[in-house]
Amino acid sequence: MSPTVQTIKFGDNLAVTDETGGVIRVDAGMLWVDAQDVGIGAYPMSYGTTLPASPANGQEAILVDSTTNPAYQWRLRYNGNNSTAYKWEFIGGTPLTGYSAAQQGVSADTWTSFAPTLTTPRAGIYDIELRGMARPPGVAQLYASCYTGSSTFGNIAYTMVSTAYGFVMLTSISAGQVLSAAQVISWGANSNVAATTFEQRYLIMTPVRVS
Amino acid sequence: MADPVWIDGSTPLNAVNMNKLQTRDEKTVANGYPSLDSTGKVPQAQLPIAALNWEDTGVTTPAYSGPSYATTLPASPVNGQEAVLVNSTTAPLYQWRFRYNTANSSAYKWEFIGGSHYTVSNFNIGTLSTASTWIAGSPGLVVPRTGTYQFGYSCCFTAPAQIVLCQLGLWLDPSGEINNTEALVTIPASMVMTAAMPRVQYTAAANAAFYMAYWTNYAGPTVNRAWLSVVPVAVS
Repeated sequence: MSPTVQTIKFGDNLAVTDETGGVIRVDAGMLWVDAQDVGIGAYPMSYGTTLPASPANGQEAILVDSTTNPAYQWRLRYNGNNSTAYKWEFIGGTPLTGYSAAQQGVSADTWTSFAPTLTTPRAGIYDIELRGMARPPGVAQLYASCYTGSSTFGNIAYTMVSTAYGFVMLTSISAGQVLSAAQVISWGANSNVAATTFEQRYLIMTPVRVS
Repeated sequence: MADPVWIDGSTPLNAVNMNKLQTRDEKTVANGYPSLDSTGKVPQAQLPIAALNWEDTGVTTPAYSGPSYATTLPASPVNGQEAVLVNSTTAPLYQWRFRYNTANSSAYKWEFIGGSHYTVSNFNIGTLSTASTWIAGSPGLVVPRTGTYQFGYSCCFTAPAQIVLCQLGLWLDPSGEINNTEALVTIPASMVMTAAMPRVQYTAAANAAFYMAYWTNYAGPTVNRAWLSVVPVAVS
């Protein structure tokens, strides 16, 4: 049987007691719960690979990609007043990070997609940090960007190298990117000099709000 | 008609008297009567849920629903209290969750424990036409509370037809560029380079306005793809 929601109203000062003393107390508008008497473990925050289907305003949930070996934990709060489609707002957790150490080359003036790849678990707005190392065989202008499908998106990191086979780091932040659910993000590289190699590549993704 | 008082050998066993009695098969059924448990009390399952509704005559308070979620923080917090600060409850640009720590010896007792970056960007800034002068420009943002914040920022400089030294810094309005917040790049002629500062910590007053600050040693570089991001460390 589904529980029936009931409204309990009380004044500024109230105490509910059992044989051991106070269990619930209201004092000057603050609610206090004696954790020794009341099972705090019953706090209804879900932890799962999906978010609650019918959340209440203010409800919180932890979204993971795996409940046994998660790559990220995102604590989200449902804001029913949010005027956008993305009502689950990120209020804490670790970013989803992908890494590839592989040294891989590009053709001149051609965007190429490399590992790592990340897949968005939900449609939403995300911040994506990109960084990696590049090493061209000569003086070169270098680029790196987030990549999806067959094109770049978000910010582009630019740098140049004035010495053959000199190393340089590329980094960028692409904030506020609107992405769909299950969208695959990869690391895009480009150089005006063929055989430029890219390695030690990172993609770091954090949600801002999701649906 | 009053209930009968049974008198042996006198009160008649007729319908008038017998229909006033409730039989045992009326117990726990509709329009019947409840049973009693072994302690002499009515079992909870036989009470309507509505019977749990009650109300006193004092000022009513909404039931506790987790940390507050608002554009301000609670005025009189208790130790350990948590709250979510946003700039808008309907279209927030950031969500910052704080925990109030009365043991914090500084004035900034609301400690940041999670949330998103507040990021603003402008992908087309323009040309730096004045050399050797810090110029404040877009993007910019305002921090909501007095406290300590961490800023990150980046932009791309495109050199004119000669090598240039460019700097990107953080500008506190109206004071000017904040010393030691600069990212420097030397850019060969007509090349493009990103200047980035991943993290700068700075303590600011409530409603302080920050902007990007640009500098070049030779007029003519263009600036684009600029973003500025901030998260709090602790606020008052």
